[in-house]
Amino acid sequence: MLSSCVRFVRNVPGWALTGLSRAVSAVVSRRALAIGLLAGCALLAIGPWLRPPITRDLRGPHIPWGEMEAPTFFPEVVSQTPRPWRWNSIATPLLAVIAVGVVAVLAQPKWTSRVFGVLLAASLPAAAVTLWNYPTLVESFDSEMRDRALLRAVFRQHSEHMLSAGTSDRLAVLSDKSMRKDGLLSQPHAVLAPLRYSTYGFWLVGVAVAGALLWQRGTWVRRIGYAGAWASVGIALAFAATWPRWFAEYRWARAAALENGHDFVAADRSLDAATAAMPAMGNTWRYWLAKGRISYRQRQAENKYQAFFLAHQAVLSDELDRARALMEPYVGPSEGTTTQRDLLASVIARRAADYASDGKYSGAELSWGEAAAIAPWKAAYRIAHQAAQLAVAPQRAAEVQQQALADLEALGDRMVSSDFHSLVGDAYFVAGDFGRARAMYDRALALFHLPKYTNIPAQEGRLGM
Amino acid sequence: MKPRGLQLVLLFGFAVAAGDFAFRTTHPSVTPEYMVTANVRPLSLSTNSQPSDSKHLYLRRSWHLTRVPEYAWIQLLGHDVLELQVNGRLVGRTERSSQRQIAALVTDITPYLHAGKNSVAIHVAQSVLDRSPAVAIDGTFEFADGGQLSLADTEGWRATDIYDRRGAFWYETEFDDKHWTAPQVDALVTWRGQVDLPPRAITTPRRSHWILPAQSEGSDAVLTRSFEASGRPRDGWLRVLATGPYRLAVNGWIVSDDHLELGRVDAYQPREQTFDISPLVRSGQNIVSLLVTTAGGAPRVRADLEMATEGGDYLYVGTDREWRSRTVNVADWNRLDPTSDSKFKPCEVEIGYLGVVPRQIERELRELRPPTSFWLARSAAYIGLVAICGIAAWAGCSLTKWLLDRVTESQGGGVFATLPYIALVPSIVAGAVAWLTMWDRAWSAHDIYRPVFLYGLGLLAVMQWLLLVVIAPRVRQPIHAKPPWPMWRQAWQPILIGACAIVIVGVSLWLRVRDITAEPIHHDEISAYGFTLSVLEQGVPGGQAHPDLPFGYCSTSELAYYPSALCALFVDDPRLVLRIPAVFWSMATLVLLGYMGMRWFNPYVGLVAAVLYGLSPHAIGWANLGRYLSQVQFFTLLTMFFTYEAFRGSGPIRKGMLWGAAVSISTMYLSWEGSGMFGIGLALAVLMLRRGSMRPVLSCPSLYAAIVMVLIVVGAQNAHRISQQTQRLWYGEGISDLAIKPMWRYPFFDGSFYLMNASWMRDALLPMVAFAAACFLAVRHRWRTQLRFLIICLATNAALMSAVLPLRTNRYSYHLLPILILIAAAAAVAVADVFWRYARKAQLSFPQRMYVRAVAAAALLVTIGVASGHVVRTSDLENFQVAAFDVRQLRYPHWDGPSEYLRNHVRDGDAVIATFPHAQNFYMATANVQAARPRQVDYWLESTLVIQATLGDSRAMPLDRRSGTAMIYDVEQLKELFSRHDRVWYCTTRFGQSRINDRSVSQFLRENMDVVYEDFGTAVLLRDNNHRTAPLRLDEEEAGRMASDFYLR
Repeated sequence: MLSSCVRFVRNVPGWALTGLSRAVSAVVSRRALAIGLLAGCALLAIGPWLRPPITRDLRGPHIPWGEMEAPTFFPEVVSQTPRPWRWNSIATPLLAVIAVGVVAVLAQPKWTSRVFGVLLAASLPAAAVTLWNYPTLVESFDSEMRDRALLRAVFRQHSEHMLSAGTSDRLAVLSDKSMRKDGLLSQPHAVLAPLRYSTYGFWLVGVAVAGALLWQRGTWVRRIGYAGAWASVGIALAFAATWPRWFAEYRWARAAALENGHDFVAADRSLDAATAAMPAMGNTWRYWLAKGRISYRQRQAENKYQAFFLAHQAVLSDELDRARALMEPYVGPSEGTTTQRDLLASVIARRAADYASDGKYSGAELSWGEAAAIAPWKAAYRIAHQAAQLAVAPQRAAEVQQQALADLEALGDRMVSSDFHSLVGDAYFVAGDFGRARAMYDRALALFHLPKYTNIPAQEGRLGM
Repeated sequence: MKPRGLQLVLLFGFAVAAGDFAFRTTHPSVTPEYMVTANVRPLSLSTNSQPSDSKHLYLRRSWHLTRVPEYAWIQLLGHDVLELQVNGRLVGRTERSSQRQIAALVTDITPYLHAGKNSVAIHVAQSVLDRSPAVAIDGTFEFADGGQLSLADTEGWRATDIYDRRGAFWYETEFDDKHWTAPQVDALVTWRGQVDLPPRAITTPRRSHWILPAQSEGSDAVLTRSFEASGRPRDGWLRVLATGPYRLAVNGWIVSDDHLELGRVDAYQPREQTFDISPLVRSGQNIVSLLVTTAGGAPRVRADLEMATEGGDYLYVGTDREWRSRTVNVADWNRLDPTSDSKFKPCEVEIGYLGVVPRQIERELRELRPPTSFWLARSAAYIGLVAICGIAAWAGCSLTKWLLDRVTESQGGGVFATLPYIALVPSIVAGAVAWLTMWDRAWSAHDIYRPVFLYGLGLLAVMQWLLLVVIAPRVRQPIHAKPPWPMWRQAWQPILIGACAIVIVGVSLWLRVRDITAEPIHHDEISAYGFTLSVLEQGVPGGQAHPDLPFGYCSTSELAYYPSALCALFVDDPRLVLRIPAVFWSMATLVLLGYMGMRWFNPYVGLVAAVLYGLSPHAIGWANLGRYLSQVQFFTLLTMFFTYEAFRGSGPIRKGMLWGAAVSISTMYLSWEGSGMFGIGLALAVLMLRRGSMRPVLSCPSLYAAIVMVLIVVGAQNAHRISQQTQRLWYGEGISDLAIKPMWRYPFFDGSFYLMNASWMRDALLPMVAFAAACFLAVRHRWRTQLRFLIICLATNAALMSAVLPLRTNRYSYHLLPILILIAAAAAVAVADVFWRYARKAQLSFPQRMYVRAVAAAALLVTIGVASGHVVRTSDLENFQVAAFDVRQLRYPHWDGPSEYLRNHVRDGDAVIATFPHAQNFYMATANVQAARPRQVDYWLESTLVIQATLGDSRAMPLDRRSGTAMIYDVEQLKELFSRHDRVWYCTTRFGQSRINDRSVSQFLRENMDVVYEDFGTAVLLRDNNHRTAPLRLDEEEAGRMASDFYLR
């Protein structure tokens, strides 16, 4: 008995060592690596898929599969935060595949390559839907890009060291050219434009391809063929899921060719066919501009499309008052489409930026307020309005801070958010409320303060410089 | 790789390489790219054939013009950076050119000129070692009467080497340059530089006429011209000036629209727009059509078109009576042929300016915006050419195989199935090199993509097929025939490899020693030198920058100063004290890298890795800078080597290697703490290496002891760092405060940054391609174990740094560079090895075997050459550019010249301000070693808190923590200083000044100081006691001129 006990005790370290070595080996086993990779895929599926220039990222669970026409995914609704996670989102099937895949990998490791194959086939249509089924959303990002340039001008008025004044936006596509009028229009093709806002969606595709290649046994030809087959399924599904967009784009290209060939009536018909295939296209700037241009070329009587087009052209030549006069008959407190309101608001916002650069802060405050009222879904105008309020009356810092809380919550751009906190801090500082000023500067520093990317306004504010 | 797979890969590779070459030869790019070539006598500041020491050349010339030129252009060729100003306005600037490149600038300057005094000012800056700034100027002013004034005349130009200012700035028209010297006219040279526009579109004067439609009905008109082009067109350009918005079509393709110009109420401002129509022109009939819309009145157009053929002939077409027009809505206007459509009428020609004065015309290069169908057609052409090349190659290979079978009577036994495909390799490599060269600004697509080279590409394969048939044995040899030199491998191979290794080490050492003192001491090296001396004095690095600051022990890179201290026992020059250890570590890394390649893979991998590292411009650059980087790099590699050797296999751990790894990683960490993240990747790599056989690892007590030792070192260093950093307060945020943050939540997160920046040269494309290839090899190649280990170490560390380091700097991934080189070398040799093994396994005759090996070796050598960073600089591949050092590049601000100038001219009572006070203090002290108390900088100017400040012990005054110099933190203090001192000096960096000072400070300095000395990236400014501000000087000059009209005339 005793000898058994002694033997048992003697064997314990050996068993423990064996157990430990097996546990450590299990952590890096093929099965564990597959599980780890699937966990990474799950993170990517619920991670950011689209990154707007100012507002918060759209994550996988925020983006619906097939609500091209649903009012719950119009830009004016999407810009509100916090955004709900949807059961019908693109992340749902992906997470389902991953969950089933984990069980399959644990139960039957030889199915691992199939799990990644299915994931590849599911992630491709998810990425395609995100990029191409919501053209109005992508245009709202373009609009945010222009607004970001205006915000940059607003903050630059306050201090040359403001973070958002001297650096590019968080997509790094804005540079000094951002304020050029033609630069605003020199966009890539509408089909390529969403790619600049894409974040981690395609990473998921890449990981799924890697998984399929690695876990499929055999020669490289066999592995590539296997991954290629699943990718082909994914591409076919993606094409099916975005079919209306491609048909609409074909009609659109046809309309452009007909317009170039001076067959305006047919071009107009082709545009209508495009929007019939994908009605969401009818809410885009692109549609309104094309419609208005064709109307203008035909010397038709002025209508809402032509007015939109002419107002847009007037903005290009800095005739902001004319642009406003052209748009105002069609936009009222409860009138006008989102597209029309967006254009009018951007015209007024440009005027506000001009006022601010001339040092006319009261005029700027008024104009920013008007822009924010016309396009209430755009956080940038409200932020600019509140910044202008602070410039006019620093003693209203507490009130402005209270108003701005929701807007700051909606901001995804850390630099803008940090700058706004610095502005509020400065206002408190001027008003003599150093405690609150310090708290705002601390918040600004917490949001953005890195070596070589120093948050100088907040840092100097906190030092009382 | 199996023969069938090899055949497919080679066939596909050839199809893409040759198809791409054929496409680019027959379909010019839509992105303009032209070379300007000239035999020139450049202007410089050299004297008696001796190059000047000046890093800047300022040139200017003035003309008094009684009338404004109708047309004026200027062409500059020079090195390294060119900047052109006309009448005080910036006209153009070139990017920095590399060692083999010449910068070029061709531009129209007509709108900048006016009647009266005019000036052209050129700034040329040096950025490459031993290449003084020089520029060749050409250009013409053309007047309305046909008279011309040449700018190529070297007479009349004046030159200096500083950013001069006499009231007006040096580039302004009013500047008086009488005190400048005449530049030296150098010997005749041939220079070529690349420009991004068709140069002849700028230099060719307008010879066209204004035309208008024959029938002036309505405000829309199509104006078109058909012309015949004989010969194959190489390129073409079109300049258009119209009185209204227009659309342009060339050969049916509409390439520009009028969307931005429509619907405007303001008067249309004609702009001359230039289009590079090279991709649109064709031999035979060409049609150019313009659809012009005006707000009222008949549209008018003036256009010049030129087409160059492969034969070097030029065809010019200008608007004249040959053009035809139609008015009112014309459907499909872009496709109509004016010669066959009777509705087109000849245009009318008008004389005069028609309100568009040539000298006021703005010019711009318009980007072609062809329709989607154009791109589809091009894509179809591309795919078609690739398919044709693939089919042709397959046919050639099949024919050759058939011939080989016939000749050797093997009767289709499959012996020679793969051999003909080997003949495609040189063409594939040539096509790939051509593609890379296209991104080098020393070459343009026109130079590379020529029909003769395309034929050469095909001929190369055909000649080899013939060669294969010729050298084929007439009688089948027995299987496994012995090679003619059986003892070769045993006897000569080691000798040859050894000889190669000696040559590599010798050349690498020479490259590292050649320029070791070419640049002065870097401002960070000055701090390092201080720590080095303190090691000799007190045994540990540390020091007291100023009596008012506490003594501080070095709390980062502590071990980096002991090798330099050792070196200081033998040499005195501070640069050599710091840089000899860097060279030593770099050479040690090279040897270790070569050894690892040989031990882990095979001798060829070792040699290739050593060559790439030895020639690497980035490694050479860091070997000539006395900081911690070369040392960290060596110990990183050594740690990896020891670790792999300790854990390789499935048996017990090799304890000696384990302790070597523990000591090495501790040394690495104490050389730079940032390298600590390498340990995580290393641990992961070990787990992967030993998965399934962990028991011997976990049962080894030495492992735990070694881990504890490393943790103690890390913990002790961390405690020491914190205690030192909390000794005094630092104001501001600096790199020493670096703390990890989730960087993926920040806007500029770039997950691949540190992986790309591990590149051994400025162009990271080839390193990344090699890395991707190695990832494939790591799946099932026989070297997969080693490759996986290397890839995990590299990728984990790079990804971790990208994910959590709140700072992106190229040097932080320098320690990963040799790992990437080893991976790349293994990938390159593995590819060549496929052929090598094929030659060994297949039943080939000796000449055939030699042929296959020669092809593989040649391809490998070419790849090494291209990847060395010395032959091709793909600077136009912007997405793959990293901040690595270039070949013989000037790297950082030079403080030696400014300090010497200051030392020679400063007087008692002067105030000295600097942005790097410790650099000036160091130079002053080293030049006056005899002085009891050498002159020191008085003030440190930093009005925005970017570099940390600290407070002194005795005075509540912010100080520079590097030197203890008092800080000037706003413009008011600066003004007060200027009021207290007659003479004020300011040593600053040319552009970095604005990063640490706000605009008001910069403006005050600009207005109150003059540049008296300039060096690379640095300048000395002086406010002298007889100084008058620039506005005051201008006022006085004006007053003087007025007085001279009335008094003492």
